[in-house]
Amino acid sequence: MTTQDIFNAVLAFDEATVIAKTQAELDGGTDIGAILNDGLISAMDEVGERFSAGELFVPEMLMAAQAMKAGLKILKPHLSAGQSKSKGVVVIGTVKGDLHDIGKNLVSMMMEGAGFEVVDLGVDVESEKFVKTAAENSADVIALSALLTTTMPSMESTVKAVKEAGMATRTIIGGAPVTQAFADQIGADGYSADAPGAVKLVKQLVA
Amino acid sequence: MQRFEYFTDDDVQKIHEATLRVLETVGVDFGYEPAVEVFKKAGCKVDGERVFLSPKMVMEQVAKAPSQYTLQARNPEKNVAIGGDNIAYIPCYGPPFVHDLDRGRRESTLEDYTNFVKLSYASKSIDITGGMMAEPNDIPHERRNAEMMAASMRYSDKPFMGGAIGAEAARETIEMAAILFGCSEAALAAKMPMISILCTRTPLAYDDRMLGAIMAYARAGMPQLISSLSIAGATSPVTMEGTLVVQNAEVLAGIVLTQLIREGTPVVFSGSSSAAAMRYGTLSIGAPEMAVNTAATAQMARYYGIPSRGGGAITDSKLPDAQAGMESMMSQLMATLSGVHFVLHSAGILEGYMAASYEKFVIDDEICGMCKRIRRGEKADPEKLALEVIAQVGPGGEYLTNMHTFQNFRKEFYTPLMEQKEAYAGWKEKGGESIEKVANRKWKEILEAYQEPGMPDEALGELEKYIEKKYGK
Repeated sequence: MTTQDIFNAVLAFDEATVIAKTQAELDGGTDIGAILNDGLISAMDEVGERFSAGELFVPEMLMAAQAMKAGLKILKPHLSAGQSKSKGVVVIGTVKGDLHDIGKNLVSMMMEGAGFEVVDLGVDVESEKFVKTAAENSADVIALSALLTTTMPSMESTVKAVKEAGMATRTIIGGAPVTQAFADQIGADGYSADAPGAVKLVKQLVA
Repeated sequence: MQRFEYFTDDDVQKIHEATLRVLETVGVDFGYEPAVEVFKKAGCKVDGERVFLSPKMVMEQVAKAPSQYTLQARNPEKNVAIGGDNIAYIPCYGPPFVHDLDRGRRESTLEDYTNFVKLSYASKSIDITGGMMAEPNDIPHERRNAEMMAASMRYSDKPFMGGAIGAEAARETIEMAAILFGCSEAALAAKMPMISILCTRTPLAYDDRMLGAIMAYARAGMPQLISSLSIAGATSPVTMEGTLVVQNAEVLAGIVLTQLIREGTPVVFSGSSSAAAMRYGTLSIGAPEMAVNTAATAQMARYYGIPSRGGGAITDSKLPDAQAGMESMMSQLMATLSGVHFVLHSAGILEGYMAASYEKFVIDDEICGMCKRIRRGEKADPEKLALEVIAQVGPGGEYLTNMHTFQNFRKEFYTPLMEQKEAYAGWKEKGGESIEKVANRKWKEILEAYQEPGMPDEALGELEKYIEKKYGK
């Protein structure tokens, strides 16, 4: 299997080799679907499994995701409409009044690594902006982050705004002081305690 | 007691020099126009909200911060000296959840906050009542600071910690403190009855709310902790040295601001950086790297001649268990041995600052008592060396019945709050309880026996009126 080298390079966190091998396979006429699925995507599935098993740590997972994305970029112009379709669109941001973004960025990167298209609105994001961006991008999920107890009410107003706009987009929330009980209370569709959990949650919601 | 020095003087110098380079060439973002204006007026290079500080400016301003000052309590016997050869223990700060063995984990309330004020007041090892020991989630956001301040002032007579979320909370704290002491705000600057914690937005930035509060407190001459919590590997370099440079740059930049606003504003050089938990990408505080940062923070603060804050009885554990015990003692002892002056989070923290535990508060109080005993130090004088007694007893004798033992054992030995030192049979007979169970009983006993420290009716009435006028009944 010629795509094995690409698979191996992703697992070795080796972006340069992923790029070189992906280009070589493409030039050599290997089936694009095979490069994508057997090389890049199955490598990230393996990374995900090793991460869940506790063999890999976050920085390694993110480095693998970056390597995978570099390969994907080469394939993109050659992908058919069906092949290039992402697993789903996620609009993500830290809610109004809150400037903390490490957790949010981590979730964002891991979702991209898992094959979702992510629109990251940054920090201190107004409810209306979440709603507008989600509508423009036909988003499947809006993901809200907060670190401060004082900004958790902004999550509630955003979830409310999404509902009032009559959108089918699901809302999920996370952040250190946030709980499942709070998610239930404000009517969010999901909660996760950490980034890997958020990816699983989105996978379930778009399935 | 000799102080523990982690880094060599040469390393401290290198970290200092690297810090100055970062401040001059990388800069720090101040997301608050009035703060940027202060730096502009002082002649700093400014690009948007990014401020660049020359080594000369940094060293000149930092030198203006006092190396020692005293927080005055409403009970003068409980005044607390910050800096010099003193150490102060302050309980947990910030958790939105509480935990106890009877009810488990839940959102904290004003009643929880008040209970922690009472436990803090009752503790012999805790020097300052604390602030936001548990967030009062059951009352509206806008009312929280005032209610917490009123509880701290009423239910304890130790110095306390002021509100930190924005200039408004700082102003409110100052106004209420002036009512408590029945004095003008100008006179309050000489008393300094409280101290507040203001934080950077690491890496290398400050946000508008913290800057609003920093500036309000500095104008009033109130002491404040300028505090950085960098997460090595996430918000700062993965190395201890690199993280120290980022932490140092943030703290020094904030201290410069305070001194530019009011020369001689009392500050605490405050570092609580730790490692990322790389399995989750989150903060870990029960890490040995946290202890390294604590010792180094004390050293850097000494280098600048400013009191330091670091460490605490802190843990990532979800329960007051063995993990909580080992991590908490590691960090509390390191802060104590390395010469930290202000040990925030000395009691109660669980879950990486997310929860305050009643049982752990009491267990940590024990840790604090032990650490203070170690910190007290010894002196090899004739009385302590006990040569005469050794000669008198001679080989094969005993000391239990010796007058020297009788006269000195109470002051020499630490007396535990929760004695668990008997032999197995005795322990079993008393119920065979784990320390968490004993602690569960203990905090209830303390709250049961609690008596309010007297407070002038007038001040109490005025404080109530202040809150009612602002927020309604």
